[in-house]
Amino acid sequence: MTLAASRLPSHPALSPRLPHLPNLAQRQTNMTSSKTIVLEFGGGLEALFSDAKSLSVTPPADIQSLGKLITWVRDHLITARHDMFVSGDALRPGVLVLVNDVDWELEDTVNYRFAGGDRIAFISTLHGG
Amino acid sequence: MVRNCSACGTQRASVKRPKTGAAVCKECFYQQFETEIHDTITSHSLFNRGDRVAIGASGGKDSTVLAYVLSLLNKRHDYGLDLFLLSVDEGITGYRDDSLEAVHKNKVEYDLPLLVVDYRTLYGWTMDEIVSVIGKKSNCTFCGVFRRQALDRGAVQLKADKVATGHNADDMAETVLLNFLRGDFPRLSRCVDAVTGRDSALPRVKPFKYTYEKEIVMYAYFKKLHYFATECIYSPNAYRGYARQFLKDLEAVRPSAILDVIRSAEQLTFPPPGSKDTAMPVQKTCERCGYITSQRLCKACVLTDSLNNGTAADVNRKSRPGRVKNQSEAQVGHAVKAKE
Repeated sequence: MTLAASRLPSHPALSPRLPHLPNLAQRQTNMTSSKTIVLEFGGGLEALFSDAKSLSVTPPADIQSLGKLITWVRDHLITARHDMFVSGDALRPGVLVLVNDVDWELEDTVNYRFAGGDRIAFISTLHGG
Repeated sequence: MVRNCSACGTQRASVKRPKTGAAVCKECFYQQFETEIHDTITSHSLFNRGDRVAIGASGGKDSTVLAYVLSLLNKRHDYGLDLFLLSVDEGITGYRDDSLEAVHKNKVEYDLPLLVVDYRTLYGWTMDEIVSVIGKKSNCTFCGVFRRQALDRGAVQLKADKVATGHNADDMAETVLLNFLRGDFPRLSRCVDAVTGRDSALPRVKPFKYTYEKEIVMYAYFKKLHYFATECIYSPNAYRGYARQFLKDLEAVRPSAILDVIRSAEQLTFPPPGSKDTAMPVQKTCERCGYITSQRLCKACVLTDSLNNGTAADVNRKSRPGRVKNQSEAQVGHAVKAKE
């Protein structure tokens, strides 16, 4: 896993300890605390994140669902070409999401409440092949 | 919410299949995905034993997965095929040179011979040079016509019997809509065929005709197949983009929409070529290069002439798709897949 987070403008949400590998000890169950998760990007979306394929992030405590996470990523991690990732508040159709290697369509999509240590992959299908 | 695989019942489901809505685990997904492609290959008689097959390889997701799956199925089911990778270098700095690196990796990983043909050798012009002359608008017309013919020329060099391309179900549905919206019924009539030019010297086959883009990308992700994904620096290709986005929006609401568009197009019937009351073109060969065309000269020769005599910007304006009176549009053959 490459980690180019350090090339991003520094942001308090980005974990200071990079690379940050999730483990069970870090899994937090307290719904009110913030959680550290790993985001992966593929299918061309890396370009929106300074070519990072993977980022360890800690969103604020009130961000608990994937739906909220998506708008948070849009507002805090992406600096250009937002339209490749979202369409308004929703994820752009054609971007696949996997939660710990499971299709988010099997995990209640935007309603999924993530846990610390989760690995969430966003993969665009929109580029040519 | 942990769901078990609807096929094996024991493993945790990882994929919701857009075709059926079924939730399946990784292993069952691989098996169903590969079996369905095998079924397309056999039910449409895409290959004959001993065929030399050139796989159109761009380094992108579709052709990378196609090369992987065809190699796999060729061994598993003993098709008896000789497989080759065939790439086209359009001469687009910062785009194709990067994606060709992915193809070179495929060549090594899948142990397949690779041939790269390039626009400069074939036409005397790279896309970088063409764009410097005609600008970014409509340069896709040149690139599409040239690429299609370049694949055929490369396949002839490989002494291939067939060209296999990675067009997937989403591409097919998109092309149906596009041809419909352009009133291009010659193309509409053949754009969903799994084999085109079956009786020609070089048929084109589409093993992914019924394969969803979502599943191709999931398959590549789980199998860790490396592909190149970026937008062509010259091609916003706005019109196709609208059709694509429209389909993706429909798919989000009703995933079967993509297959339904394909099935609908399969049911359309068209008058035979040369019919009196229609504009279905009759195919001939180009007087200069011998390539298939419905005109005296093929589109690639017309476009190359226009570049060489300085009228390219002019030809470009006249060759806007959608004008029924412009028969030269129909001669190009199947819709050329946009590289977005």
